[in-house]
Amino acid sequence: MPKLRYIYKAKITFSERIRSHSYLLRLLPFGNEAQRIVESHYHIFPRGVINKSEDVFGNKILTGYIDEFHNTFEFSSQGVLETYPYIIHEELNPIYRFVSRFTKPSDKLLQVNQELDFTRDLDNHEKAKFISDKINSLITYEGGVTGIGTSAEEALSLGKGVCQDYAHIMISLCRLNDIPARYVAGFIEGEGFSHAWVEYYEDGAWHGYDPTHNVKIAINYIKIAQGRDYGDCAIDKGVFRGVAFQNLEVIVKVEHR
Amino acid sequence: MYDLLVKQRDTVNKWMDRFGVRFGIYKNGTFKEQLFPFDPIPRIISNSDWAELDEGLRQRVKALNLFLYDIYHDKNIVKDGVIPPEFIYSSSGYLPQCEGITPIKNVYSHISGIDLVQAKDGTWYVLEDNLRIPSGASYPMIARNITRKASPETFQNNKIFDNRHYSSLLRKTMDYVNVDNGLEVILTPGRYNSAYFEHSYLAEKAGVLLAYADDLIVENNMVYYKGLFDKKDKVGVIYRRISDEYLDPLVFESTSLLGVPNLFQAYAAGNVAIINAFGNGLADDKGIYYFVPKMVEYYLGEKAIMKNAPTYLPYFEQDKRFVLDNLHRLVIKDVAEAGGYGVMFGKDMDAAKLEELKELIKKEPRRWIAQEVIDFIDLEIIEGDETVSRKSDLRVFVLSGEDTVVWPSGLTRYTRNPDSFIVNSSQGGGFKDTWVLKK
Amino acid sequence: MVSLKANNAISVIKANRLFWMGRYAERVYLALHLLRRHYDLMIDEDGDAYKTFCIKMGIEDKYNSPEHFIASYLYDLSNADSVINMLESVNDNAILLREEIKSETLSYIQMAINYMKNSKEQSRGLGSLQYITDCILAFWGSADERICTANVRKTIFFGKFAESSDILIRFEYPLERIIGLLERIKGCIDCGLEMYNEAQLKAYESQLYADSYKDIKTLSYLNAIFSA
Repeated sequence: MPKLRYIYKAKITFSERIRSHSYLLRLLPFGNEAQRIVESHYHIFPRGVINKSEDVFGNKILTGYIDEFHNTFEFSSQGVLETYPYIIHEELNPIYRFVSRFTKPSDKLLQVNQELDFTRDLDNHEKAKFISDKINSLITYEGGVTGIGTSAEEALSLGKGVCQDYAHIMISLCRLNDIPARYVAGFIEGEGFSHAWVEYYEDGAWHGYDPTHNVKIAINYIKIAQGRDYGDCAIDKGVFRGVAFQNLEVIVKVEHR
Repeated sequence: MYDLLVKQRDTVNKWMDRFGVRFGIYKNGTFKEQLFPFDPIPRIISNSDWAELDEGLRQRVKALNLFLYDIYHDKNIVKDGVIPPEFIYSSSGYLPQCEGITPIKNVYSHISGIDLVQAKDGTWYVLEDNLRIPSGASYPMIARNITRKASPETFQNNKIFDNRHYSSLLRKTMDYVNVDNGLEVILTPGRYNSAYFEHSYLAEKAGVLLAYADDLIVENNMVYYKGLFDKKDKVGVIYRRISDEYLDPLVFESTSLLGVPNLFQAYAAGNVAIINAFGNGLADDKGIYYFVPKMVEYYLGEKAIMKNAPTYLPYFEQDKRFVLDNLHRLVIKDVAEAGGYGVMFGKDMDAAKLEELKELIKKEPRRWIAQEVIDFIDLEIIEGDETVSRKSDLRVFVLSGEDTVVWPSGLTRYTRNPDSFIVNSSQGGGFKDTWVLKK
Repeated sequence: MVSLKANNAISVIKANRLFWMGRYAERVYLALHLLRRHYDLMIDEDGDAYKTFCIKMGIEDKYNSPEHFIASYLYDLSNADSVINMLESVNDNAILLREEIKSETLSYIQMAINYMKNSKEQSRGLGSLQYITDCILAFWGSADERICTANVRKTIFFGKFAESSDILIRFEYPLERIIGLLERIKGCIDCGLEMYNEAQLKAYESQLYADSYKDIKTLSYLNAIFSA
């Protein structure tokens, strides 16, 4: 089975010194039947007291509080995974059947959904493909147009977006067609940024679909976080005291070993 | 019974003014604090009526607490088909983050505010269950303090249950769930919250600390009050007056400045009690309301003593047909709204508006509930030198700690506008004291 | 299971509010007190006595007549120096301290404000303001009587005595009075109240015993003693 080495490095630089900084990070990969953890390390600086726990979606979370003044905040995660075909057997949690904040459909999504017209007898694999094809005919990839707070409905109306928006639209359309679907944040092979894709449920298992690349996921996608939508999967969230501009630099690198 | 008191109403109002009994409202975007109008004529509840309410409300709140535990754990009530799963999972009050978490001593709704109305035939109906942060108990408390001063004879001549011990009931409730004898705090969003008077008054009377979000930090999954010179005191219980979505910016609404980052993690780890628990909004949901009498039967094996107002859920096909046919005489509520907003009366709508609403109901049946308009008892209020009748409701407070206790009083609110049916204080009504007779 | 500890914790913001509430309340009291003395001169001796008042108080003389001064300095909400604005500042702090100072103590400030905003009273000028003085004295009495938590109470009185020292120095009161107030400041802070700067306190004290205690430097030392 292939082995992947991943490195995720992030650094936030603040224009002024800040303090009383609380953070919640989702940095650590899942261990499941599609990815077995061989080794995994993380580094946070300054760190404060770190607490490791798991949220209700199964994500590993690191929380902490930094009291003293600081100008930069660094967090990184690296390790080696053994990957297997992207099928995850799991009992279905019903929350993935219902609308969530970023995927709530309104007129535009409902209209697109009518155009899908799944009257024929298709299984969820086929439907997922149709949905992804449809999305790719409606929106084009463009950075900087949407933000982390953009909903599926908004992105669809704009006709532009990034992986997060593709994933939200796909999730929304899946759920409208009674296909349980969830949002996944993680890394893919190569160098660049973190990525987002979709898992849909069929026959007792979750399957991966990458609507941004319009392809069913076979193997080698590293999952870091999952949830109803982006709101449950942010890699880093923080609150601090002080007034400062923030500059975030991220490096992601995934390669075969 | 209360003539002597009514004669003293100028004295009463002077005291109200002196104590700054205020209610904040936003008008055209600016915050204004105004005196919360007080009417001296009390609502009087007979001892026998109260006995039934007391029993019925304790039963109802016990069932609601069991329901919240069940939903965030095994969900038997869904598995057994009593409540359709949609009503849980698509409710904005349901927080999946709370799955599997048991609050300290398994209390979800420490303070419940149940809104009631009395029909002309004397029957009491529950209009709403408020299990998030029901406000208002401070007003009858301070009103009683003042009316007893202004007209002692009134309270000599009538045997009325005292209500000024609400703060000690609150304190007992906080003590009961306090983790490791930590600090006890009331967490307020600040002066520009409509109920700030209440927050500070209850903190004073219960003898607990009033804290602002900036005063609290979470470190190593523990909550601390940040004192002078970075001195940190561990907090054991937080009576928060900030709603779930703003309470922890790292788990819920990221842009919230009112919350305490990572508070949720400390709560999940069992290191602090939160009053009321996270996730209670589900039981407040106007759609879930329909099922409360069924919950009583399901969890307690008893028939529900408290009645709901006759309610229809368009979600059910049969109810939908009924609602669409009778819309002109029903009251329609948007389940996502609170505070008297999103409430529409069919009788006030013209044909076009009714059609519009019908379309909305057909499109999103789960979003609406419909109720019969209850012909409820009007209460007398003094206006100038006259006595006039106004619509009113009653919020009764039920405290759940070691025991479930109903506070023998309540907030009676009335409309100022004679045509209005909505008595919410966010919409500018006044309040009365509520007397429960000892005999 | 009563956790007494609860009432002793004070946040930085709260400490500042307590201190400044004390200062503003004392400022209202002394402003009215000194105003009466200057107003007395204005009756038949020196119509411009208010100008001296402004200079000593350290506020700008933006008034075009004695009448204008009385009306504006007492009641004008748009005049940042006015007595009603001092009261508003007391109230802004006090309303956020209800649970510490108790509703009864707060009520004297509410009463004072309600009274001062009443136009019937306003038309009566300075004469009617004895009521405000009474309210402030009742406020101090209530604060002393009802606030059991020592550090809360002492922080307020620390503010009170810091303010009276400041104003009495400005109005050139005899040194004994200022020394007397210093003793009372020490009485507030020597019991483990940590919110003061020892070096500044010492500097202030030695400055008082120097010849030039009426110097502006004295005030700057004085005003740096409080530190939370």
